[in-house]
Amino acid sequence: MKLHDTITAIATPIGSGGIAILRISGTDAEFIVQKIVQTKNKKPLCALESHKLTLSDIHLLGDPSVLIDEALVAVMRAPHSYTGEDVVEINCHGGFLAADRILEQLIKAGARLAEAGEFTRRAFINGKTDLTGAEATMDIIQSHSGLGLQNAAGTAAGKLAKKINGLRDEILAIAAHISAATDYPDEVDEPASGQVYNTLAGILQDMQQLIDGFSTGRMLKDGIHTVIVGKPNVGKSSVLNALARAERAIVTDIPGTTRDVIEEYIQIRGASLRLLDTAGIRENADAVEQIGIARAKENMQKADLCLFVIDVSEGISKEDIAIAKELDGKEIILILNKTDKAGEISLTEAEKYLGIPKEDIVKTATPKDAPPIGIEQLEERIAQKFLTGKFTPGEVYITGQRQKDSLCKGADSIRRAMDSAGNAMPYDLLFIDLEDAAAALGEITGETVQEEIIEQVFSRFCVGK
Amino acid sequence: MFIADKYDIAVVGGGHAGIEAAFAAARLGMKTCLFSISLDAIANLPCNPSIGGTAKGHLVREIDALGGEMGKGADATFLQSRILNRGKGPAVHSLRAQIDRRNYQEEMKHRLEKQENLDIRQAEIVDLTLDDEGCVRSVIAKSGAEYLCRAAIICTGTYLKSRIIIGEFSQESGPDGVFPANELSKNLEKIGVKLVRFKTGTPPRINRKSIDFSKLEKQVGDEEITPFSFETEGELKNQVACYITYTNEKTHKIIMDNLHRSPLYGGDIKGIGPRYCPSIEDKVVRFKDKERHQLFVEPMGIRTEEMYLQGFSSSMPEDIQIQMIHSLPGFENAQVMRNAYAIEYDCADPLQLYPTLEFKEIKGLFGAGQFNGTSGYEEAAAQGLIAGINAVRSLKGEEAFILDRSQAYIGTLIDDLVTKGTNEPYRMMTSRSEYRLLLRQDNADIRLTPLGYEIGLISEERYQKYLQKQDAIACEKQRLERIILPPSEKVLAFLEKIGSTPIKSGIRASELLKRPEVTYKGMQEIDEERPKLDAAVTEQVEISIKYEGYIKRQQTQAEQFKKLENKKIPEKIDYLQIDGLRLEARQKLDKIRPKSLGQASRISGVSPADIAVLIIYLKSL
Repeated sequence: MKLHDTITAIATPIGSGGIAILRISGTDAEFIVQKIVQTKNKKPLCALESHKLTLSDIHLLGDPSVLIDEALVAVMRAPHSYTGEDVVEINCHGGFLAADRILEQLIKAGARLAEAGEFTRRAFINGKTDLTGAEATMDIIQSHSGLGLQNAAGTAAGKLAKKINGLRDEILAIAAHISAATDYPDEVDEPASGQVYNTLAGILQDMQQLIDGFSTGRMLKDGIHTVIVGKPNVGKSSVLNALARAERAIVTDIPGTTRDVIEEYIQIRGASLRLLDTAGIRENADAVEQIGIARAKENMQKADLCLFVIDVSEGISKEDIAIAKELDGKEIILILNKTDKAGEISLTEAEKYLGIPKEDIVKTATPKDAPPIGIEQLEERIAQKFLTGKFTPGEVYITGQRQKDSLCKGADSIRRAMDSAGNAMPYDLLFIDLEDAAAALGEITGETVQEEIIEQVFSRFCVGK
Repeated sequence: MFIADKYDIAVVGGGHAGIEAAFAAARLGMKTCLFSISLDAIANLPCNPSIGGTAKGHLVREIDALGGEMGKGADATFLQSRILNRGKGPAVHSLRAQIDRRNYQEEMKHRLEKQENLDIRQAEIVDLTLDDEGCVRSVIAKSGAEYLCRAAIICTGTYLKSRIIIGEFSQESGPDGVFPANELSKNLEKIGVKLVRFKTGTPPRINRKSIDFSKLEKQVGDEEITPFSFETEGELKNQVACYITYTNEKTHKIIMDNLHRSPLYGGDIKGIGPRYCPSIEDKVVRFKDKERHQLFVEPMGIRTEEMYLQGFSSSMPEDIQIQMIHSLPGFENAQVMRNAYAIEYDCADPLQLYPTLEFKEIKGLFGAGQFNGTSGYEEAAAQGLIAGINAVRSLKGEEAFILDRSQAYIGTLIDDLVTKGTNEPYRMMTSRSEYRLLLRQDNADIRLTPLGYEIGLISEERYQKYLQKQDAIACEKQRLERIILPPSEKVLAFLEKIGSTPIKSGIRASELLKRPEVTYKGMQEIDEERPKLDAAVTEQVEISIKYEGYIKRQQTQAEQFKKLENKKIPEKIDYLQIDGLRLEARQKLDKIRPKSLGQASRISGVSPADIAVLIIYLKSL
């Protein structure tokens, strides 16, 4: 990570929207941008008021006569900018071409292409945001869904930090009590061991809840990892296209058309699905197809949800039963597809042979010249499975692996402290684990322990000669 | 002015810091002089007549393990000894002893007088001079006598421009009627030392014959006494008891009714007082719900009737103090011998010091003790020892001696001072250490005696004894790991007696010892071939086996800590020019000039992100 240079990147998603924004951050931001910008009011950038948009011409580096675009330019001077450094933003015309050409000129003029997340990293280094805030901002940027965005925004606003700090305070309160009793044995009694044990149990439960929320948080952030599986030619790609409401995958009558994994993000009730269409699973496939099948199986194992498609016109085959076996233990929705064709499988039959409960079975059809049938019911079932009960609006969920690791570490320490308390070990041994737990939680928000315990000793206990 | 003498090292002040500094310097071969305003004030205990206590007892044992003097003096003059926290884990057992104040002063003064290479001089040092390179050149007494020296250690305690306050009354004075040092402050400031003003206080002393002891609870010492010094041998005996009484509603009402006359609340005291040493008015105001506060009545010595009233520090006016004292059970007719008072004094901002306790900007000038912003005799002595050792090593051109946080409470104390600074007199507490389980008072010799030997403060004879003790510990541990106890009738009967789960097959003695309800001593009856060993040896054996898992975890933590601690930062780094650092971090780092990345990470106002930037910057050098 370099720190002193000036970085730039296109800050808006490539190719979408009417306007593209280029951001330049660093000490030389104004100096570099000046080389390719001529404001309409003829003022140099350094004479512009901070945080005001100014209509300008963007031209080629070294040749002001070659115009690239007409754009709005804003200077945001340190420290009142996103990164805390001098920042210039160029709002140019959308689409790929203009923004890309400007970026090229900026790099020629001395800026460096920013690494992923580098603007936020600088914001963190410059004290514009704490760790949870920085991570949440990264989540906002990368968020694929409305609910994910809500969660990230809640975290950025300090909800997670508040929750973590609450737990930390509870731990520190016990630690402070033990400390006070240790440093002032004639004046303060030790807490009762049952009381410590119970308080710790409560803390552990709350921590566990946060840890358990990680999968939900991750699903909110990255989307529900959904894999469409089934035998070849049961209509998996058609289901994908129907859900995506676009011709995303090639659909033919030829079994084995989909040979690799096809990925698509779709929205259901504000939650995002990372939908993967996979190669149909069958014996006797050719070499290329076999690679696709291996990938399909790999994805199945990692999936949050498997959409298992079978063709009702063919009935339940041995292969279907084999796939059902492989899916054992996963979240599954069984799709009885091609209901517009002859043949039928009853829900009872499906439940009996495939071991999938009736409420998780949906009937669909994707006729060639008519709108698909049953897709809304499928969406409804997915929403029920993943949003109802699992996701409480207003609750915060951790989304980062780092946050989860720290929480797990903290929970381990609390468990050890509970063991010690349960075995009537002396409190100073338990204290080590409490400190570890508080430190682990501090890693999430970036706080340290020692001074705080001492602070609490003197604010909560009347001690001293 | 005339040149009176020439020394290697001048120690200014004869309190607990000055004493250790002077001993260390003289013993390491430096011609040393200790100056004190009054030789009768050497080694005074102007506050409580006791040494040790939680975390402080650890400090005394560490001082002793490194070859310091305090523990030996305390063992020679103690009146009553107790291990605090005995019912808790081994890490927080802390030795505390009541001391005969006068006896201790005489003992320490006499030891100083006998020390080779060391002169003791009654003189008030008012100034010091620097040579052309800015190094310490001499100290100057009030009388005009100049003493040339190559290093000076300032240990002025609470004497610098000190003022005592009793209600509306105040006067310039040091503790116990000794003159204050009024001139040195401004001359220290002249050479660039930044001073701050701190405050502390002490309770009243009462004549024993006027106290009704039938209304007090008695507190006696331990039956089996553990000495402070690892060298002390022979039988030790308690000679006195202490007593406990409590404040009551009446006391609290007198305080609340007269709060406007307290200089603390009236605003007359500007110095910052310590949180852990609150006056009784503070306690009553801040903890309104508490119906009573515990007070300890401690003898000041054998040949005196003065009793110290611990817990009753106050700066109330004299008339109110007397009313307050008379409201206590047993003290209805108490005769006050010395008033409680608050004392304000100048001391140095410790952020100006290196961990060697040398001033960063003035070569050869060291500070130790209360002068560095601490509180307590033991904290002072610990710093005196380290300043003394480092003054010598610096003059000899040897590597600095710095203990880190995982090695000793002394290391923790000094690291806190020079890294975080302090805005109140700093007291050592067990909760200040991250490595409590490693830094026990029982293993201070294991941790530090080899270092004391290397430095030259531990004799060959003592070192050999130390090695023998280590051997004995190792042998006994091995024996317990080897012996397998069968599920015999005798063993099962023993387990049943102590309420421990019966065994089905043989179990290693060391495994059995790990059970919380099993003790080494208790296991004697089923451990037939046990050799006869010193209590100090079996204590180590028991602790190291019983708490093995916890100790190992702390060792892992300490190793983690050392990684960052061993990443040294070059001295001549220009923090102000490092671009990625936030402004606050640049300024803090520039001021404190940490020696390692570990130290840098503990500076308040330096964030983990700043450390990341610093790591990258150091790599680029």
